[in-house]
Amino acid sequence: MSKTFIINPEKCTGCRTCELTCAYTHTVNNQPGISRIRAFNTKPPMERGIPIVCLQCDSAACVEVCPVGALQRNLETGAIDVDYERCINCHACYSACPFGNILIEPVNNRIAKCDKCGGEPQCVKFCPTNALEYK
Amino acid sequence: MVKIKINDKIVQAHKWETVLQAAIRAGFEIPSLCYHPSLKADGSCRLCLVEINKGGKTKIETACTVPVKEGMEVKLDTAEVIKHRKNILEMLIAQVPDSPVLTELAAKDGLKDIKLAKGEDVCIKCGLCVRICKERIGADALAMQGRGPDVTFTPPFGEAPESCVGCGSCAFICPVQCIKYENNFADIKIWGKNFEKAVCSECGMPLEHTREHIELMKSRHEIIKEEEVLVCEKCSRKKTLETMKNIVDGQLTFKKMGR
Repeated sequence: MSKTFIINPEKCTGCRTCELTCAYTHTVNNQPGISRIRAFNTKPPMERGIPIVCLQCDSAACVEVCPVGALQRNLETGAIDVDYERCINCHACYSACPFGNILIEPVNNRIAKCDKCGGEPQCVKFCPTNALEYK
Repeated sequence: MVKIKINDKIVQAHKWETVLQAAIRAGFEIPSLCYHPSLKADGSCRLCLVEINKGGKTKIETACTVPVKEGMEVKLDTAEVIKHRKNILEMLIAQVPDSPVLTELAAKDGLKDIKLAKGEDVCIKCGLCVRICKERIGADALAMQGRGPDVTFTPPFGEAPESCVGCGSCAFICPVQCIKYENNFADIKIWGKNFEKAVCSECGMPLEHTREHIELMKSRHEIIKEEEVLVCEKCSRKKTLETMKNIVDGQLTFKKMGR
């Protein structure tokens, strides 16, 4: 079975290091605005951060709705990967995701989603408080 | 699996593959404009010409339409192939002079002066727009009209198409970018038709898609639910956050949250 993300909201401080790490790993110009993971700072009474990232659903809406089959599950990592050769930029997956975890890169208008960094999620590696785990 | 030879390298290909698909998978580069991995082969741009040796007979054919066969020998860049490709490129450039894609391909093959009279067309008649709309999107709003050199790819009668949903895939897939597509904050303009974008049911901001496109997606896929689709990215993230907040104690795995 492939590994999965585990988040511990009680440990998250909302420092958003994961966002920066994601941006530095995946974007050309290191833009934190188009990070695939988002850490939210919640308001009182529950003051803590919650990181939200693609859940790699078992029966995923994005995979089902893609007209050209550009979104396919990577059997090695368990992540749903985007095949940019096939993608026709209709953004159907972006609308279909019920969690809002697919984003559109404003630079080239292409979609982007979490690919678990090919099996070694960098956000987990750099999380200072172990709020994000991968096991 | 079938064994074929491409440029003296033995390549394992699936029975259902075409020469072009096998070559791309093996890492070879064949110039092509009308090929898309998720559409049926059409063979309309004629740029993917290769020399195929089947049982002692050599023939120049388009790689995208020829299925692989055991013992086939394919050569990609022989003098004969390049000569024919240059001819085709010259005709394409004469038809569409200002296309960066074509100029780049011509530079690769060393084609310098175009002797043919230059036209003012913008379309290379590859038909990708019609095929993607019909085969994949399912709107079937475009059609091929006319014959021979006068062929055009437009909505029926050149009028604003009724079944178009404004997804913009045709404009994206066009190799020479000749379809005018305007994606503004609250509306989409394509094929002379104005679409208003659907709005988020939570915050009222315009979404990425038109109402028509969402209806089409809903009719084609059961998994799409009205209350989930009509929410913008930010609001659905907020909803996820709320759910997460409500799960009070302990660790929560993404497995539990997912579908």
